[in-house]
Formats: sequence, C-alpha cells, structure tokens
Amino acid sequence: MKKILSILLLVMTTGIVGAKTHIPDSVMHRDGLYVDNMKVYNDSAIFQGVNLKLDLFNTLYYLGVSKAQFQSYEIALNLRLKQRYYPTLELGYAQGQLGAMSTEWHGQGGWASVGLDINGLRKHPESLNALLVGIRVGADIQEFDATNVKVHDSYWLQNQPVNFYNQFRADCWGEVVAGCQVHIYSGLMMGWYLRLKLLFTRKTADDKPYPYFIPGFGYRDNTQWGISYYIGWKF
Amino acid sequence: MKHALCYSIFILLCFTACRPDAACRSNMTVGLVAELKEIQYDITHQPHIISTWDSITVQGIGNDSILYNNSKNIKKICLPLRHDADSTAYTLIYKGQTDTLLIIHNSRQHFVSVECGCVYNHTVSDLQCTRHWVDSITVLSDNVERGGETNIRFYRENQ
Repeated sequence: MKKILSILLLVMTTGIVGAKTHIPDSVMHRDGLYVDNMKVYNDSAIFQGVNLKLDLFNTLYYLGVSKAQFQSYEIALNLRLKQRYYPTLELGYAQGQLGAMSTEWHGQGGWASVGLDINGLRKHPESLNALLVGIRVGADIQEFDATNVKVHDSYWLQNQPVNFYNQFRADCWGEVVAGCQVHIYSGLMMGWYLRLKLLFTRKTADDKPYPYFIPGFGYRDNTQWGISYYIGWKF
Repeated sequence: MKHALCYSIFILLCFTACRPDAACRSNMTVGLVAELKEIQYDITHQPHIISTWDSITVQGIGNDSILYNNSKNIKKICLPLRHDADSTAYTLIYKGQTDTLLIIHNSRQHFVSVECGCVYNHTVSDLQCTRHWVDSITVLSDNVERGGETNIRFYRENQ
C-alpha cells in the first residue's frame, strides 16, 4: 500500500511539475499543498534545508581502540539543494599521543573539509533519504611535539636523542566518499560514509619531522580509509 | 532500507582502519658509499677492470671498532660519517697498503618517522686521501643520504 502511494505521489508530482505553470506561486510550498484534491510541491525550490550532523564513529573508535590516546570530534553541515546536491562543510578537532620506539609524540589540531555530495536516489519531495557519493578537499593545521627521538648511528655511536618541540604543520588531502543518510523520526537523521583519502602533502623540509597523526586524515600514510557514522538533525 | 543500513554499518565496523604498528622497517644506514675500479693487466698486457674489493679493512680514525675486517668480494663499502664534527677520517687497508681518507662534510638532521627516529644526512665538500694504493678518486655524488647512490670511486692501476 505504501509503495502504491509512493508511486502515485511520484506520478502526481511529475504531473504537477509539468503543469505548474497553472499554479500561482503564492500557493506553492516545499512541504506540499492540496490544490483541487491533489498534493503539489514546489520541486524547483533550490534551497531545501540544512542538515547538522555529529560524527559518532571516529569519536568512539579512537576513544575505544586507542584507549583515549587519540581523540577525534567532528561536526558536519550540509545543505540540501534541489534534493540532489549536498554541499558539505566538515569541521573537527583531534588530539593524540603515542610512544613508539622510545619516541614520545603528542599533537593536536583542527581541520576543515569542504565538498559536494550527489544524491543517487530518485528525487522525492517527501523523502529525506539519500544515497550519496561525493568528493572533499580537506586541510588541517596542527601543533605537535616529538621528543626523545632516537638518532641512528651504529658505528660512531652518537645516539643522543633529539627533541622537536612546537612543530606546526599543515596538511592537505582529497577524499572520495560514498554513503547514505536516512530519516529516522521528525528531524532526526542518521547515516554513514566510507571515505578514501589521498594525502597531497607528502614531503617536508629535510630537518622537519613528519606528524604521526593528521587530524581529519588519520595516521599518516599516502592513502587512508575512513568511516564516519553520523547522527544529525534537519532544519 | 533500515535493515540494510544496519548490516552495512556492521560490515564497515569490521573494516576499521588499523593503526600502523610501531616497528621500524626502513634501512636506517647512512654512509658515504665508495666503489673501486681497479685496472689489472694479464700476461698479454690486456687491461681488465675489477670492481670488487679483494680484501679491504676499514676503520674510522678515533673509533676502536673495525668497520670492514679483511672483507672480500665486496662491491661497495659504506662509510658512516660523524654528525658531531665536520670531518670524518678512515684508514683503508687494501692488499697490505694503507691509505687515509679524510672527508670534509656538512651534516643535517633528517627525521624519518616516529617509529624509525632520525638520521643525519651529509653533503661532502672536500676529500683528501693519501696515495699508497689509491691512484685517484672521483666524486660521483656529494649527497650522503639514506639508501643513497654511490658517492665516490677509487681508481687503482695494478701493474
């Protein structure tokens, strides 16, 4: 029954789009109005709302797996344009500390990424569900310390460790994302993304240390996979 | 739709990004790489170029440890340079003859990774060598880096 109604609704919407020149603009509304016992939508509205989302996965993952040595927090804002395009802004903060082979690393920083998702689902005025693919460009800036860094010299044995304090570093990366979002109840949304990240800034000055962890990107490598699981609210 | 979403999340949770292990697997040796070109003549006076060290002993001056001890059939030797000084000296004993090689260089710190730590790269600015078994030296590359190319070549003509 629900499917039949959906199909009817789509058919009706299609019909209305074709005939909307007969409907005065003043009676059209995004949420639909009944005109002559027929529900009509202003499907041509460009701006159709905003989603504010909070990433739970990375926050819980890093807290759990690294035993709180790493922490990551992220919020995302995306616009809904014509039910098809979702310009997205993601902001986050991460910090971490690690001991590896006598080196102590501690860093913290924030990141932002912007991008665009495209909804692959068929447009429906009442559906907020979306199957998304998109791209992002992200950048971070962080400050970190790498202390007690071992110096390798097996012959002359000049192995006095060195320290790098207050190192500032900015990195940039690109992402290809795929995921979905579903409407749960009222304005509540949830969804996830699978992300493939490609680091653009791979080199550093000869005497500058690399960061171990890049906020928003993950552990430093040329490519990195990532997952985001969001809950959010539509406005 | 919601069931599919739950399954998808569960599967994705199984593929979470792993933290790289804290082990260094990089070659961390940095040294001036030297090779030999030795011209030997056979009984018909035809020259043959030999590129392996037949027996070489190398020791850093100021270091009790012998780097190569009468080593045979070696194509290249790697001479670590000091990073607390701007020169490093080695004694090279080849076929019973001793030469001293003095390398003048600049050192600079190079961070490899958190796991691997630091090394020092160098730039060779000058070379000085006694001429007992060494006839001449050419500098092929003045950059001494981790996993780097051959830096110098010794020439010797064995009559």
